[in-house]
Amino acid sequence: MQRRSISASLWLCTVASGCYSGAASTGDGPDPGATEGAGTVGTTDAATTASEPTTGDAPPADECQTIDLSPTPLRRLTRAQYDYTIQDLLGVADVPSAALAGLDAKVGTFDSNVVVPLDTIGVSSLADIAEQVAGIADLAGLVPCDVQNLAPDAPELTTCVREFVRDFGARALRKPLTTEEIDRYVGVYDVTRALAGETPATAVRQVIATMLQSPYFLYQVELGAAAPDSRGWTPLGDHELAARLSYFLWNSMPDDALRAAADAGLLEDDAQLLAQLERMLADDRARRGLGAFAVQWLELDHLDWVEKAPHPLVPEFGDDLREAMKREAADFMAMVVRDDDARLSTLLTAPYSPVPDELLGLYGLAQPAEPGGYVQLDPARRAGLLTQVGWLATHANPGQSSPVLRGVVVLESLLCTFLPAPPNNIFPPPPDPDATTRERFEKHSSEPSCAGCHLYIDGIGFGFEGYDAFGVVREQENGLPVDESGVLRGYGITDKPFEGPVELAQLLADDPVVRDCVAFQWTTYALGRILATADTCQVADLQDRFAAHDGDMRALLGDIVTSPAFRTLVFAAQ
Amino acid sequence: MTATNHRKSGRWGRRKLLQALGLGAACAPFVPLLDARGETDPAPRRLILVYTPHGTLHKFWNPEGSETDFVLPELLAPLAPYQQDNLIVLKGMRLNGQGGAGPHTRGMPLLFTGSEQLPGDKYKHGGAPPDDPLGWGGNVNASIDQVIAQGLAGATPLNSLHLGYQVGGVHVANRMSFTAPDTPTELYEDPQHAWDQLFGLAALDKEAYERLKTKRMSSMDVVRAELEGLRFKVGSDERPKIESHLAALGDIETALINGYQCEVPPLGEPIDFTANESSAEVLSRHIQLLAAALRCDLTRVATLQVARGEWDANTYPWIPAPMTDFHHAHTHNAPEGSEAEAYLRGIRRYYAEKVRELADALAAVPEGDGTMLDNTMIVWGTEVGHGQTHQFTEMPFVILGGKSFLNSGRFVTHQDVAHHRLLVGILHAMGQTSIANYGENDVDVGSGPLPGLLL
Repeated sequence: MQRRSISASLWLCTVASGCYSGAASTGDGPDPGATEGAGTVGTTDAATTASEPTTGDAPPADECQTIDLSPTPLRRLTRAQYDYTIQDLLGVADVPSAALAGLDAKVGTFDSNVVVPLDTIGVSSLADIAEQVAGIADLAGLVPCDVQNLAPDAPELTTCVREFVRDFGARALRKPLTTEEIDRYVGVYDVTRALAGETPATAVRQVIATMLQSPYFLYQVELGAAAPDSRGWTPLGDHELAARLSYFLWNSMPDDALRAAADAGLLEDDAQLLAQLERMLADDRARRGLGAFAVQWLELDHLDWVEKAPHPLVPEFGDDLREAMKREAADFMAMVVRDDDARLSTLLTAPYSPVPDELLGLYGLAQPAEPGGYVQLDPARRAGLLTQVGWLATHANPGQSSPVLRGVVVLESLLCTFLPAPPNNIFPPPPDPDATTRERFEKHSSEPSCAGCHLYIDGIGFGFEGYDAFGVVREQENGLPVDESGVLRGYGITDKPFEGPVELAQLLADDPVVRDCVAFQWTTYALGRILATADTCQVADLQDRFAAHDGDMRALLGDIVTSPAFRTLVFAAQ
Repeated sequence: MTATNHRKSGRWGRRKLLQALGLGAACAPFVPLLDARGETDPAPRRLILVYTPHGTLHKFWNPEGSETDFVLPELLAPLAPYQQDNLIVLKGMRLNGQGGAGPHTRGMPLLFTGSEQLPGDKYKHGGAPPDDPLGWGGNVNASIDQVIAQGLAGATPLNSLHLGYQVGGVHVANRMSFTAPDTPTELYEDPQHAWDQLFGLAALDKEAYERLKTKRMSSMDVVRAELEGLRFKVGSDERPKIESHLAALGDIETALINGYQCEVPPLGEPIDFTANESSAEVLSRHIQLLAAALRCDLTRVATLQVARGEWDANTYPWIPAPMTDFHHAHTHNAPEGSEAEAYLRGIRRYYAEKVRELADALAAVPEGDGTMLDNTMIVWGTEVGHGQTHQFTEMPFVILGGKSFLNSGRFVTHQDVAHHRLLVGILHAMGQTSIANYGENDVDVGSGPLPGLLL
């Protein structure tokens, strides 16, 4: 197989104006970048063959000699990471962080704050939340003395507060504090304590509020363990690496065991780092990080706003159902990686799933799963993530299936193949009670000017026509039999015909293009940054290892965390 | 209490103000700014930029008649009370620019920055190279509200105020205001949040305020010391993030030290400020907050963003729709005379009613011989001319208020004039008269303000 370098943007097709067979809800889609590419730029001929442009400086991936890396951006915690960190640090479960939602950005389809700096509203919001959280935290387990009941002038307070700042500070700031830093935080205590109406306890709360506003808390601060070499590389510090690991796997801060390993310098050793990875995967918090990958990779976060028309099984599409749909995909990913064989092929073909009770009806099932267990599904109708009702419902129109939405997500998320924007003045095929969705789209897309892209999109999307707008299995639509045959086409994939979603899932699971793309997506998620031309050889190396491990995602996670990209801080060239 | 982008904090002349009032340095932290401006001073000019998504339906928007004698059709009819002397309807404007992405995506940041998006890898899927036209490198200018706010920095406690509803995450296609290239301006979505920040401290008694101030200053000193320590340790490309954070701390601190007194507006019960059903209530609260902030002279520049260019996912559930789907989807499937078109008319009429509500709130505040509206320029725009065609021509711009400095009460038909001229006109109206061209232009659009706009 020919492997493409990252510099190869995929222009499978061109858009001619005047026609577009998008469904009613698609076209220039919700996710910037997902479907609104450059309609007017790109390939100029109407050829539908895949080509590999030769942009960028990196060698073709199969000629890699050495690994290069693009610079490391400073990452600010996402809202989810912020919430989980406060939960793990302070035991406060309900973090009043709604104001942070509008500050979150994406890298690819993944949440990561690497581009836009904080400004006044953001900083003051974070201050407000910090004060609120510090005000409700239970100090009993945090402070080494009974600060709430000691007399305000109790002599042991001095030592107690200093120890609290040192120990709690090391957790909150994710690094040991210097003496100067400890002095500063003790200073906050002293200033507050001296005010009329304040107590030792409220002064401690003010210290906590301050730490929650520290850049070491709000950002993944990475300064490196040594001066950068001629390439601008320096190994991450022990605690910096620990934080990368914990935010990757847990979406949260390191725990005591990981901090102890960092303190002891153990993480510099690959075997020790991998031992931590295994330990952390076994911890329940791994469901957060693995689950978030699944939800964001497949764009199930669109469930926050997609609408659904009333359905016989779902009179009203409420938050409980939306969350259950996300949870199924998240839990499935976590279970495949942690408890199953961790194979990509299992993820994409398994006829079982941890179906939440709320979704049983959509699967036509009555018997709930054992807690923490799988439900067996009909192997003729269900195979892996892409046949879960959540994915199918997210990528559908409110009242009908959408071969276009489903086809586009498979191309982008699983084949790493990107499409140009649809043309401007398009009318989707209107609903027709006498035709199937497929018939309407086939007719519409047969225009030569549309077929260039829709050959790829619909060829995949038609494979899911045996599911309605909610992912419920159907054999007929409008009284007509559904046709779920299709052809898988994509970069590096020459026409592979299939009959139905189970066969499509098998084709995807077996395809090296999908395998490479999944390695690419995991790497993007782990690093929280755009993979650029310079990263081509690093990514190719991880893809080779993923192939050698026969698509074992657990092995991939190990290869990622021990890779130069994960262990290194790279400064931009001056 | 906050001050967005308050970069020249030293210029807000509290000391000067105190001298003028004959007060000593021991004065309370709250300086009643309204009183500070003498009755005889001319009222300040103010600017509010309003955005609503997905264009218009020209058939129901284009006025009929002559420049000064015209009839407002359905989608502008709510503005009729201001038609005589406080309204300008601009026909024939063109959003000028190409950029790398789809029309909703590139129209949004283009609207008030006049700058096209660059190819690049800042906002996009991974996997494509930095020069890939699939990517967005952001835009190359600040938006005009920020240029104006920078020019006015120091005149008011806050340089500018930004409010929005259902604006989505941080992305160039989700924001109308940019503090700098690539840098969407932060905004408030929760009216309660905005209220807390704008008026929360003003509602405290002096003792509580002083105590809070001391504690917060103490915390900010530590945070600042840590940021300063990191400033030159992080990579040079990352330094702006630290510096922006530091500048924000400076703004917050300045506002905390100076304080301000303001008539605190009422605030309703908590609501789900992101829900589809909450649209009208959230926007009403935003409008009341805006009017209160302008009345106190907390700021003179504001933006109000309704949804986003990329994809308005609101269903406007109180407006009858032919089928379950949201606003953006319907714009792609609304042939003339269809039920979907009627639904879109309902949405666009609703926007006009909200713009009217904003004008009403300002018109209710007496100022000089007239009202605050007469000295406030409300500019209402959208990211495409029409949601179906995605055209950048016939952009439906409307200007309300500002009759003390605008040639108002008119329906003006231009012949495909680039919106850059309008941007320059707004800049001139707000005192930036040295700017002859604003934004990035591949073609010659002429220079100077839009002809006939200013008195």
